[in-house]
Amino acid sequence: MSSEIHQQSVYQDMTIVDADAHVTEDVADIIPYMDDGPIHHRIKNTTNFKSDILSMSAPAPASLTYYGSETDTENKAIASDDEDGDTHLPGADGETMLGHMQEFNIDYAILSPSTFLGINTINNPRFSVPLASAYNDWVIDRFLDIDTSFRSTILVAADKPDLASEEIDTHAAEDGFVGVALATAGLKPPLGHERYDPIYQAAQDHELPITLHGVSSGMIKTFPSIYEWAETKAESIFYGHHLTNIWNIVSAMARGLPARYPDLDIVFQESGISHVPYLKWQLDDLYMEFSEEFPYLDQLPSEYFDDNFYFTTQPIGMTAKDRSQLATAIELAGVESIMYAADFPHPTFDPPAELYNRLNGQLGDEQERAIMGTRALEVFGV
Amino acid sequence: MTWHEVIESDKLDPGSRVIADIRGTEIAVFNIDHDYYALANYCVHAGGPLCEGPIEQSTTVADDGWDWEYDDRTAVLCPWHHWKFDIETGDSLDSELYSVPSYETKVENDMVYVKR
Repeated sequence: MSSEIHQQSVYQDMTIVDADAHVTEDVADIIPYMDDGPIHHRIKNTTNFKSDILSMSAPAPASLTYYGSETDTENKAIASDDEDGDTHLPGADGETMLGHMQEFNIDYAILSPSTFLGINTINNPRFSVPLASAYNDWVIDRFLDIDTSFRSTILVAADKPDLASEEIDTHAAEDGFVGVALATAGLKPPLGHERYDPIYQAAQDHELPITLHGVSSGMIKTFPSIYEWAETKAESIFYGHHLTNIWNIVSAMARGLPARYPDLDIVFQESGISHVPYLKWQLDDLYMEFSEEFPYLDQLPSEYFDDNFYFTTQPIGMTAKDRSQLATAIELAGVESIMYAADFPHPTFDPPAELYNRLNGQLGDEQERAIMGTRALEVFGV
Repeated sequence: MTWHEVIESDKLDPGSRVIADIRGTEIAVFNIDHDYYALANYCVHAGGPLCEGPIEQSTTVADDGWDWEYDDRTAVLCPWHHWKFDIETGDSLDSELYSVPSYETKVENDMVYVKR
């Protein structure tokens, strides 16, 4: 795949890190990594994993092919065929994903799940805990053992924080794992609640950042009332990603999460960066007015943003009209909190050039390199 | 700098305050358990009449990490947006970026003075 914007890019001498790359796992791939038994049996024999095991439902089918959705039976737009004629979806295995990364000059990919981002929509943790563990073992086999360009977060089932903590302990020492994925679809209560403290403690102890990532078809669990009145896929993307992260950011600040775990980095993925200035300003204002309700915080919320929070750029939105606006938005959000993400291979993905061509020359070479890759290397300890 | 008479001490009950015009500046004198403190009646946030707001104890988290309890700081809340300033120091309770001017006080012959 190539495009004019891709060919015009001038970032080839930079280290490019996709801080939110997606594997495109199928539950059939994961099942062999589960222990035999009744849970394994039930999952293996379910007819619709997304609704029978997960509670994933989009308010409406996407009008066009959409990776990872129920309508992706023609999901071939950027799939590739091998010499035997078999089709490989991007993100289905390490070899296929490497080819696409090379095409975009992406040096490292921080891997997130796709369907399994719905892990916390599962009501019964007897299912979610072994599924998350099996997913992690699959990622090792299909990606981390394939190439050192891949790093992954450890997927955890949030309903059992103690077991999640054990899962973190199990994988933290392995080179390929560089963070902890706390999938926000169905994550209730939200981020700031103390029930997740074992997860935060384990992540902080192992110096692993937490990544927060929503999913559009998971909003049914997170925002049921909003889901009921959403009529389109486009709406669910906003609610499932952007609004979910905003909800969790406010929760984290109101419950003093960054003050309770001062060495824990939290990376908010797939909700862009333009909401960040608004949240910093508004939370500072609310904090000063209602500070008696924020007794855990020792400084302004915006200062915790600067110290503990990171935001990946995708989706940067329609910023082509005036490229200076994107640089301004990044400066308002906090230049040192921002890192590039492609979200490849989902259809909302941003090629490196889509970000870099609009930043080039505006933030200085060092900051531009940091945003495109070196900051992610540092935050994820690659 | 000059000491200015503000009010007779027996006319300012504990927990109350009086606002005086001292050389063109509105300055409030607070009686906190018979200790006297003086702050400019001006909120650095938006210019509100800070010292006309309620007086409250500062809230903190108890040692158990759970309960909320009062600490030993007494604050005046700006009536406009509830920004809180330590009556003893003039410092914001919530951010080291903000403080309002505070003034020395003394009591002599039952008269409260402010130095400005």
